[in-house]
Amino acid sequence: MDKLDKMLMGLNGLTWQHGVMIAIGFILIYLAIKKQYEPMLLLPIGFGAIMTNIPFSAAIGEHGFLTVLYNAGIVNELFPILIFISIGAMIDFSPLLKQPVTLFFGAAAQFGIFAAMLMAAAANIIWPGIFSLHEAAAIGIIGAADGPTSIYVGNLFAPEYMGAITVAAYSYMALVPMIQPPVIKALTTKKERQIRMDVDYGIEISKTVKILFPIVVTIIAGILAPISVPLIGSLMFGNLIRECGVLERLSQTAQNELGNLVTLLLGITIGSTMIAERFLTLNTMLILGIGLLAFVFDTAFGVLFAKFVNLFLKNKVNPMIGGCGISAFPMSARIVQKMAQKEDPSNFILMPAVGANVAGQIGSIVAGSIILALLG
Amino acid sequence: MDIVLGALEVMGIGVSGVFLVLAIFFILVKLMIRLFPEGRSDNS
Repeated sequence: MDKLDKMLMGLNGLTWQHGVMIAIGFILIYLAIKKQYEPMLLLPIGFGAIMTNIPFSAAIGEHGFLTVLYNAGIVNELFPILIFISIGAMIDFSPLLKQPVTLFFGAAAQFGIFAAMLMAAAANIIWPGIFSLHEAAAIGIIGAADGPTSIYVGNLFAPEYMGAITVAAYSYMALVPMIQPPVIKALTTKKERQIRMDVDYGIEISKTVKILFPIVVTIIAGILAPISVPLIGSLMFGNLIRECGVLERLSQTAQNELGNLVTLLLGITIGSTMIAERFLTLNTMLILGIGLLAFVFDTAFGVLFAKFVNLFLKNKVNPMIGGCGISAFPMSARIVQKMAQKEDPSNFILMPAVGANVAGQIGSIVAGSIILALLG
Repeated sequence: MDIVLGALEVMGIGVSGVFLVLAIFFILVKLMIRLFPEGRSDNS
């Protein structure tokens, strides 16, 4: 009888909460495969969630391999840092360097982070004690539209909400084609969406500038906020490998093998934080809701900032590129280009849009670093 | 209420801080491009 009980332990331990979490895992896998929403992350996260929520799963716990991975790569922030090296090696900053003014769009579109943080903090007015200021900041960072930054800050400030924060960040990044267009359309006129940008594509950026850029940015950001060095430094290290011209093999490895391997481990490890008792709460619902609003605010403020800038410019910018200041790269730039061509098939604003998009990558890390510096 | 005020404070400093840092990067990029120009490509 005892042996039979042992065999049926999993079945006897199954609760409705486990069922819901396994269903959520299924949904994430479905979205990854069928809809191709961030499949590299959502599929491992979904499967990790399933493995974690099988009652008495040996994948978690002191010697569970998911816990071992969590301690080895998330607790000490190693995985997000390695991902940043990979992302840095993938990013070509030339569109930004050709149009440095796009940096300001990358700054403006970080507003959603702070707006979301304020909303999470304000939730305390209705539900006293629901989120601390640190947790509110970790929720706000969903608006960075940048998975590794969300994981980095989330792990430091709100480890118990890591699963919800990461799932929200990656899900909404995948849903950018659905979130951004209606917001951009609501805030711009047809005439504004048809604005052509007088971009001087002929300017070439010297190799010296491309090499100096990651080094200078790391030094300046590091001096201003030393806590930003791991985040910005790893991104820029990856970029330096790419641009230096003598480390092609390392650059390819960082872009492919390193990125793929860490993404694989990162996703499944994040999935292991989606434990039913912690995930199925009002807090998680609020995190998902506020995270969505963070993306909306990012886009809206970016567009409004571009419209504000236009008040002072002779050669107007297409305000849609303001929305590209979020870090969802390169999806956001592609969407805006598509929207521009829908209004005017001969309008080509991809270059400045990509510039704003990579500026958003830097802006999101800077915003995350400032939050870490202020509250760390 | 303290949390909300704290969040507002972080928001004020944070938004200004992001603009300030990226403005410094803007100046540096402009400076670097001026110091190390490459010229123009044929398709200009």
